[in-house]
Amino acid sequence: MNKKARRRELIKKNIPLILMSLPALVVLLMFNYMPMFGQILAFQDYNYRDGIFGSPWVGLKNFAYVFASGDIARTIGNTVAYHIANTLLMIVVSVGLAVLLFFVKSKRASRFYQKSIIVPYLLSYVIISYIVYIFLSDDFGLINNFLRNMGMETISWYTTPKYWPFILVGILLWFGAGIKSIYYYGALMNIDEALFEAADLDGASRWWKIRKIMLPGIAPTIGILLILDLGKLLESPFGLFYSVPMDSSALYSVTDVLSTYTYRGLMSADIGTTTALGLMTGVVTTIATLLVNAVVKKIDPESSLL
Amino acid sequence: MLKKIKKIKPFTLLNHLIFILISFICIFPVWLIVANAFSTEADILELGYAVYPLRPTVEAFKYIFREPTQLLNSTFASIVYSFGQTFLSVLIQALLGYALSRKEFILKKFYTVLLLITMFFQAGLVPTYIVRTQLYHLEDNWLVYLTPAVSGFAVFLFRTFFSQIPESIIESAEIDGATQMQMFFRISVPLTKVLFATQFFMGVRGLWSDFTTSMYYISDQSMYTLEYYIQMILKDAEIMKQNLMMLGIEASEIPTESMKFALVLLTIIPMVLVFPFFQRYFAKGLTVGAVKG
Repeated sequence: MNKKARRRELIKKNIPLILMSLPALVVLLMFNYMPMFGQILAFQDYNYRDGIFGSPWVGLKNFAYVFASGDIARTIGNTVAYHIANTLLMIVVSVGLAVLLFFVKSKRASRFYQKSIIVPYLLSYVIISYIVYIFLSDDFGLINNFLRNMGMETISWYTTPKYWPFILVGILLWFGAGIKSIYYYGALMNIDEALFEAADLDGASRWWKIRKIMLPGIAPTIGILLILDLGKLLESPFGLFYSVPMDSSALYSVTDVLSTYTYRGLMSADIGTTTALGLMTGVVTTIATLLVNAVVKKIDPESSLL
Repeated sequence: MLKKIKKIKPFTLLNHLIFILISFICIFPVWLIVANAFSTEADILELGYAVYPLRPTVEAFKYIFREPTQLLNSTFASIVYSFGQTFLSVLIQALLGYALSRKEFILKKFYTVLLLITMFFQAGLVPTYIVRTQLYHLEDNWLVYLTPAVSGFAVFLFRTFFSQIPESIIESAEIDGATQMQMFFRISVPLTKVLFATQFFMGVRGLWSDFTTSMYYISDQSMYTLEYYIQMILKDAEIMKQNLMMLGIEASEIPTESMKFALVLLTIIPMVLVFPFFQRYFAKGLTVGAVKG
């Protein structure tokens, strides 16, 4: 009887729990798993009339098309290049900021600086687009105005690709360095105070403290954030690459990334090809994430996902 | 009397100067929006965008509020989208997180695997778009804004927080005959307020600044979110002027440039007002939750 009673008790306790989990199950199946199943579009010549169940199957034709297209190589190249440039510069800038912030002894000043460096992070890419436009607009922009006043030739920013890699990386840094440096600052604050006191007694220089105490102290944090970033190799914030350059087609050679390319594919009803591209980048991302996770697990098991 | 003069070291001075410069770089661009929102149209047209308002005016705001229908509709849409969807998502994720935190829950393995798969493999934009519009007909409909999202990361975070609640509290509630729902709402939620606050703020912040949902799924202009509305005006201010012109106002009379920035300023204000309220919860609530177990 004991077994039966315990079983009944277990079921009785589980019914409400199962009910509580049901909304999430419905959402997961409808909005996560159904779209995953929707990847079969990559093997179809999709048209809206016949729909997802009626469109003709075309095998791997869409994938062949993806590989044959020169645009896609350029798009992936841009995506990866921006990601790597941003990741590397971001480490230098945000660790540098965190170290300098650490040396600000005044509590009031420190709090003010911390507040101001995360201001950009609170803005959206659309708002950033407006700010960039204030600087770069042909007719009213601050920079062209300045050039005009100096008697120099103005620059048509939104049609000249060569400046944009710098502008976009600059925006990424401006947007993210503040919040990243706050993470590193937190890691610096966790370093044992005694280490600094001992260094002070020995009359160690600031530079020595940075090299021998601070950087080693936050190295694990840097490593983890760096590795986690690698898993996002093929990600590209749509707002930044679509909205900030005003979707100017003259700039596509340097601003087109996977997210904007996919968006245009969707708009021109290139459903099959774009899904094939998405499926491939999805697989690459999954492999990257799994690898990254394996490495993280080696270094710091607490931070790994699996 | 001798005053104690603190000697400022050159390094400290330099460090402060660097940070004053950096703070300026971070804040000045936001100031530019304010400066242009309060500038006269004539000054912008003649001298270009302002660094500070030469002759401060609220003209642009007056024009916006002369015909605020679109602004009000978009604000409503933004509120439904950011607050409504975040509320639903947080609730659904927390409920699942709670179930997963209970030792006796028999579907633990099932849900953990289900969530992990979504964390490692995501469907792209195109299949998501086709499934939503062609199978569920989620287009030009308020449900577009209210479809909740379940993120494995958030669910596991909730689970971790809930399982840190001392067993004794839960046991005594059980003995008192509390149902699971009561335990969730009366014990677990109040004890993890920090996490709820951070998740809610992060969610609202993210959706408030997203323009893509309106862009993909909404064609009815009165349902555009603020963010999409200002994204459209950035490219072409025509929509903003249409309504005013219908009131019989001459196109040349409308302060188009300053109005754009006044609108942008109005969309930033709610986030600026909400942020300090949540800031104190940040450090505590953002802690990464381990998934193992």
